[in-house]
Amino acid sequence: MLNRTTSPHQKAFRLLFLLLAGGVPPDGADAAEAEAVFVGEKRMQAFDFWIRYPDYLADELLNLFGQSRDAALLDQAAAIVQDREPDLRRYPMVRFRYGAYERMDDAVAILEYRGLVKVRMRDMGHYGETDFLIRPGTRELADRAIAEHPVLRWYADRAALVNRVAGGQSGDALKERQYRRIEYARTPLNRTIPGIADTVVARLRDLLDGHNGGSR
Amino acid sequence: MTETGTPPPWADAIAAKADMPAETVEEVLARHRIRPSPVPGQPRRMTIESIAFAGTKDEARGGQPFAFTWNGLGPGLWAVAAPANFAGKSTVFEVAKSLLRGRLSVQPDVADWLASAELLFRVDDTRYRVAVAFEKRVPSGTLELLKDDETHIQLGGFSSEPEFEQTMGGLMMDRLSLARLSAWRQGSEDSPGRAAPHDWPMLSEALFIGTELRALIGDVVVDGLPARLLQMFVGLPWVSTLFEARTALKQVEEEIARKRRRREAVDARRKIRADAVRGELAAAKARLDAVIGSGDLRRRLVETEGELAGASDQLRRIRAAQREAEAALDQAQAEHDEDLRQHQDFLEAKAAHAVFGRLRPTCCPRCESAIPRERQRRERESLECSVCGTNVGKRDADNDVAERDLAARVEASGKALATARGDAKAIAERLAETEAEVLRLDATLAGLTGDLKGSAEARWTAEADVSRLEGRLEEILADEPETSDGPALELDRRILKACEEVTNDLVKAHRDELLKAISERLAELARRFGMKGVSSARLNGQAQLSLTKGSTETNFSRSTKGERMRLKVATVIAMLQVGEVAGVGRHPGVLFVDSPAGAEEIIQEDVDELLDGLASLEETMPWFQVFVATTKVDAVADRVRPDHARIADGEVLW
Repeated sequence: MLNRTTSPHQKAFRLLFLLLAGGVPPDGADAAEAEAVFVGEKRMQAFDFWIRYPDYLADELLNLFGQSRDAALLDQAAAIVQDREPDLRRYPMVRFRYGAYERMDDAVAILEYRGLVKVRMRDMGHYGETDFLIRPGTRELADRAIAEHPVLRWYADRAALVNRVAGGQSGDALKERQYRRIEYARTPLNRTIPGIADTVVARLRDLLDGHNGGSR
Repeated sequence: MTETGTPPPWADAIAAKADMPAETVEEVLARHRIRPSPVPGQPRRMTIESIAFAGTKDEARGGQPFAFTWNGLGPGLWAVAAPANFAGKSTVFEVAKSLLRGRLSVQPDVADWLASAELLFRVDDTRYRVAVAFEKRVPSGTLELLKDDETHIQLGGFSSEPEFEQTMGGLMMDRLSLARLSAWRQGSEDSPGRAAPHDWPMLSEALFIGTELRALIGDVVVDGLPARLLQMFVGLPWVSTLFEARTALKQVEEEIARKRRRREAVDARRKIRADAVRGELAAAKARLDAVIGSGDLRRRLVETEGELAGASDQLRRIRAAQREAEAALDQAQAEHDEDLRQHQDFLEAKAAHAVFGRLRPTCCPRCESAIPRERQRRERESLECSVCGTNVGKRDADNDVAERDLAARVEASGKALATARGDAKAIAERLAETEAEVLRLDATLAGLTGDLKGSAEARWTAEADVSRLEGRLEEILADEPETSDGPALELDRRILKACEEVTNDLVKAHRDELLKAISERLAELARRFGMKGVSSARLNGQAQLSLTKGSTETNFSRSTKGERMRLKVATVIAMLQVGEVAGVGRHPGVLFVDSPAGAEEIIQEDVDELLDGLASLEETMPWFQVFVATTKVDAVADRVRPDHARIADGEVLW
């Protein structure tokens, strides 16, 4: 499954929910034109990777479980595996020097065109940072869309999970977390990042056995 | 021993009778020292030269010492005469006999009186002296050889009765060449029979005719003795050979019997051992038969191996099928996943499109210019995209078909996946079954192999036992003891039997001839000695004499004492004369005839005839020495030379 054809509208929709899930209330200047702000393109790319590689997300969930021992995290990771998401919900990406990357121009354009999102550059000195302003009413619209098209519900749920896993960290921090895992997986440059489903399954089994004091 | 030149007819006759080659016969005869004796051999001649004895009478008879000496004796007729019966005539003869025999046999009272005695005698050219002193009848003395120069060599000393007898017996048997006349003494298991050389006292009977008249020859009645005594007088040819042959034959037959008894004992023991081993062998064979049932075991083993091989093959096929089924399952899964993804993406895309399509465009994505209302309206009516102008209506129609198509594909691949899962499950079940079967067969095989090995071991042990015991039995049965001697002994026996038969025939032939001649002469002499009625006599090999008196058949035993006396003398003289004429005489040549007239049955004329008859022997047998003791003084005076006679002055001789 090297090539998965996702329509531009699909991508746009996915991006919309990512932005909605990871958005924060705007500060003074942005409050006039936005109901939320998603800070950083890098952060957006990181969110995108985790929604597109369920097994890497599950792996992160297990890491978090290791720290917090929250059983819900374990259950969530188990559900991802049991629903065969690593096969059915992987949307492959190519590995570049700094990790997974894909141009989001078309998806952004669709959102901007429909007046849902506005891209705003922030001047940082010798480089610019991209933020995504979410127009007022967009959340309401998104909720209505899901209600009318239940088939899209997964994106909303998954985006929320990704946001939780991200834990409010910056784009650089998230990239760092992801890069370690991708590097471990030894993905060659410019190649499609492969799945780690078998590793996750094995890890999950061990943790489930340990957590429950025996086989589940 | 064979003579040089042509083989003797005697050996040939034996070879023919035994049906054996002549060389074998000669070897056997030589080995047993059986020599032919066609000629009886040169007889040895004895001559008494002097008789002397001395002693002291006991008080009852006067207690006086006495002595008797008679020297200068030689061949011819010698007489001792005294008118009365108890004048001591017999003592002279008895002393001579005692010294010759080595055994004191005088009248009891004389034995007590006797203090010393001496005998000088000659055998052929050698002179001997035996001098004895008696101490209460126990003899002690010497036997000496006297040389011409008056020196003497002691040949033996004795100081007891057995020693005396042994000394004289040894000398006589040897010097008179009488060893070959000795009889075979029956033997026992431990000491086989042997020839007995101590027969001189018996054989010396041939030298004496005494007052005992029960036996025709000699004074003693002993089984078989007369026959041998006959041979003392008449040396029949082949007799010694016959004795040697009989001796050797008895030896060999005893040896054969002994060996047979030994072999039977060994065989009996061997049979016991063999039977014991046979018993063990039967038991071992029974054990082996019990074990051989492993044939069935082997068959089952082979069957199980076959089944296992079949099951293993099937296992391999199923595993290969499983790999294919799993590959097919993976494939079906992958295909179904792909169909699912495509369908899902399609639906999402459609929904997203619908969502975004309803949204009124506000500004150009590129330049953010606002989209004019006119464009918006055109899009709603003619379905032209307000951004790029593409007709979007057609796309919607295509999408419906595509959606149905994708849905169908999902269903189809879903079914295919289910089928593939079913197949994989079925194969997995069959695999498990077959693996279990293989394990089961493996275990069965291991069990059978173990059983077979165990039974194989039991079988090897039983087979080893059987073969060991069979070998043992063979060993025992093959263990033949000393058979090597058997045929050799049998061969000897055959030849010796033939020899005995042939030799016996020869002996008989000669003897019959001689006995006939003796018998005729005997009859003549009997008539001369006063038995006028004897018309014929028949003396047989056992020295049994039968007579025809007139028309009556009678024999020696049935004759009167007087007749018997005369017949004894007649027999002796007849034997001596015939033997001399025939050249077979063997008598040593000394004869003591005691008191032929001691019994009242003998009358004067008879004594005269006896003396004449004895005197006549001088002519034909000049070496012959005969002593006669009688009461008929006149007859002696008439018939005997004065220097050959000792006549008692008065009543006693000494």
